[in-house]
Amino acid sequence: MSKGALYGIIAIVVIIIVIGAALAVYYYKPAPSKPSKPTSSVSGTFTWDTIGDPQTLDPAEAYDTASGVVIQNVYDRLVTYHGSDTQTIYPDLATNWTVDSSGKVWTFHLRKGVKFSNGDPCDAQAVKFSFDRVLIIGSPQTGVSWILSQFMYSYNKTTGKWNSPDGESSVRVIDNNTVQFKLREAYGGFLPAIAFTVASIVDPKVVNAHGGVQPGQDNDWMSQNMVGTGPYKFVEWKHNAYIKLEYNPDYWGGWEGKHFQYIMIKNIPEVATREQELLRGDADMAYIPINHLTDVEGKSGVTVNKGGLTYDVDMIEMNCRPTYENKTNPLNSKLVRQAISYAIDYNTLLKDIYKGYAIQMQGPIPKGMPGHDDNLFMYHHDPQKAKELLKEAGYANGFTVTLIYNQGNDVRAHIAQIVKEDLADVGVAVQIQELAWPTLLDKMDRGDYSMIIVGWAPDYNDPDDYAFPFLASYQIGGDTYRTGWHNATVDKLLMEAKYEVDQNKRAELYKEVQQIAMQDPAFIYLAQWKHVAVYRSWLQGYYFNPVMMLDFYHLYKGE
Amino acid sequence: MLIPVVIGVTLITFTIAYVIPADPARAWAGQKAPPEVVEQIREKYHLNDPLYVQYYYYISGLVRGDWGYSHSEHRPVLDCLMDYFPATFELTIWAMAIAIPVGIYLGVVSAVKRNKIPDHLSRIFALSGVSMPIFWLGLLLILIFYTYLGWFPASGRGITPSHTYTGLYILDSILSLDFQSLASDIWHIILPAVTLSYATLAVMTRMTRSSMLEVLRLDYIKTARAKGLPDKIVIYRHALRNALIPTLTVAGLAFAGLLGGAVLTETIFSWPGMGRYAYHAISTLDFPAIMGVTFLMAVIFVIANLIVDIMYAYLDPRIKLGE
Repeated sequence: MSKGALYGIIAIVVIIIVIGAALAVYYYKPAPSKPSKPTSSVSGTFTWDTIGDPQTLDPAEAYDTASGVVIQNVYDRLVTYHGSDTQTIYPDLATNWTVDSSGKVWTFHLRKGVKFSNGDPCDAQAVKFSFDRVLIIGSPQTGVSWILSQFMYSYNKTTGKWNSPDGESSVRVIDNNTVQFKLREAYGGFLPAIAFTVASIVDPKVVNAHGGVQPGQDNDWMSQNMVGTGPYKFVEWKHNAYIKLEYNPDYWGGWEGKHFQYIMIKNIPEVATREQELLRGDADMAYIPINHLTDVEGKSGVTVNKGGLTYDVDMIEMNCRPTYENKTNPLNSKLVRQAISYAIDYNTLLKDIYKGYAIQMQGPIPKGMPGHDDNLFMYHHDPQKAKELLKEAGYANGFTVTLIYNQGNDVRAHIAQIVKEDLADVGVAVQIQELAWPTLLDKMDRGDYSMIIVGWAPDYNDPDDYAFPFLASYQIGGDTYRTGWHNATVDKLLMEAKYEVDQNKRAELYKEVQQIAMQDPAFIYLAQWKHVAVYRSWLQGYYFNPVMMLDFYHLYKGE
Repeated sequence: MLIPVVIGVTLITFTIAYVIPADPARAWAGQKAPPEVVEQIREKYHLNDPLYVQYYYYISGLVRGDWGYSHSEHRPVLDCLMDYFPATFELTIWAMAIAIPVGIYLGVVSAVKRNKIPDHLSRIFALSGVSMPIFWLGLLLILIFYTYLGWFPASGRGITPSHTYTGLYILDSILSLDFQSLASDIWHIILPAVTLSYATLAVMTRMTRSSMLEVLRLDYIKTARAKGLPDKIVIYRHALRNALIPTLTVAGLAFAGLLGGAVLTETIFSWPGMGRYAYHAISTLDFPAIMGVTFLMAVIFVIANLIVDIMYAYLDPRIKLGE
């Protein structure tokens, strides 16, 4: 290469950088680091630095948090929650509803004059179409349609008919503004279940114009695009980078008061980058894990909101099968599982690992959720009692177990270390295994484990969403964690509670279930996370509800 | 050459990916999916079939232009690659545009001024480049140029150009005469490009220095000097041309390597590129995505090597193509 050519390359690079920088300064104005006064009631951009890219934007298939937050704000459902209140269900697209004495027939009267963001009317046909669509597609990738199919008539892909006595689906159009649900089973958690994103109302015209509804198949267009009746409309999705929403001027809820005009959800995997953008004011809100909170706490202009309890829980599941690896499984003994529950030093875990951002989990149903029992027995750290129970079970000399957690989860890695030390104190040796998530799931499915640290987050606000997957046996569709635990009484009580519509009776049934579950534990109930949100102090209108995603509509930039 | 390499690479990757002791259908469906959904996925994607049958399905799809379905993104692999590859390609081009001229220049200066201050400085610079963790450098640059000075942004690719022709934002901005987007995109790419370039730049410097030192000792350089040619002519026209051959080999491989290995830079600067996609695909056992990325990388490595071979012939007339 000649000297001239080399200089040429260097010159070109320098010129491009200089021109680029000049143009950048000239054209591009960075987001102001101080709040600007809104010029109208709908103005500005809410920038949220978070993690994770949605898997799909189609409510019929979405089952992850990143998808859920976008769907919740772009689509509406028949019913919803308001603010932090988890006890009352409020109208959304339905203005009121009635239920018959059997609890199987629900009639919803719809809000009149609601339109999708493209101008199409949202009526009873759209409601029927949306629910039928979820059940016809059957969420072939995630299985989320189970939330509806547990109480609605299912669709037979082979015959093309509904599995109901009259061959019709559960949803019937009474008139343009009235729909009726004829449920297969009266379900105690019906209203909370249809407040979940899977029950979002989509535009039939839009779906039919883009591939329609194919049994057992996802709609590719719907997975990448959205047209809803919600406060925000979809603008752009750059995968792994951001999702942009814009306010829907025709939103039926109106735009009184202050609101953001644009919403920018940025996917920023590195916590340090999120922190810096928050501190400089380029992000209005950022996801900061608890072990990084000290980086932002006390900084000027930053609010760390610690109000409320989530329904996110951590547990250690135990393999309850009689044998494991062709040997007698000590964890098959109820006494041994009790002993291990007594061996754990919960207070140390909460203080050192959860840094005070969790409470001890009181049984399978989280605190705050209907059906939770505030007086339920809880295990506490009692190594002496644990040793006695082990002796009684015939394991005075202890035994060895493996404890698995998923790779990359720092909190669980630390939990494993503490549990190892705690169990060593009572003579049980623990071998810790860090496994990739898919390998862990595979071992769980095959029952090839002793103990695994697991977590659960809510789908909807009902105890059935916790008690059934944890405690019902595999034979009746439960045991999501494959513990192999089986109690015929609990199975009977759980089925009864599932289809009981009297909420007081349900609460009694769940109380009994929880008492049995604590005396014969298949899980070590570790922690229920507290809520933490980090945002700029200029952000107003924020609230937290454990069964809802972040609500953009009520947010605005204060003075 | 391309066909056997690609077949070999896909076969090896396919075998390794599929013998991992885990159930991909379970990983794709998620923890809460009912067992019947997991079984449907197994059936639909032939996961119950023997490995060679699955490989047959994959290759026959590939030949028809069907790269498979990316389960982590719920869309075709080809769509994902068309989104992510241009982002990584653009970043890599800029990183190489910094690394090659600067690296070569520093290497030459270092060799010519051997054991003098410029040489020591250049060697310290190169040594820190090869030993500094890339994520640390990235965070340091964010702290200095974003947090304290506010000169450059910390994340993203900038404003999307008004028209998309290639997926390369800067090129698309120029083609669509969208100067606001051009400014924003250049502004956004500088920190990640500098971060990504540093390690390669350091290797280029060291490589150029050592090969220059060898060449400068050769007789024809002495002859050139004896003829009374100016130093600059001797160094840049006579010595550097021969010294560039090993540097060029490294540059070619580094270019292909950066395309696949930009995951840390992409993570720190929230750059929506192929490295992050590949990492996510691996951690979720998204086999079609893993295969797609591997296949693309294999093709790129072959092409990069081909270009390097052609450049050899240009730099050294003794090397002839086709022999």
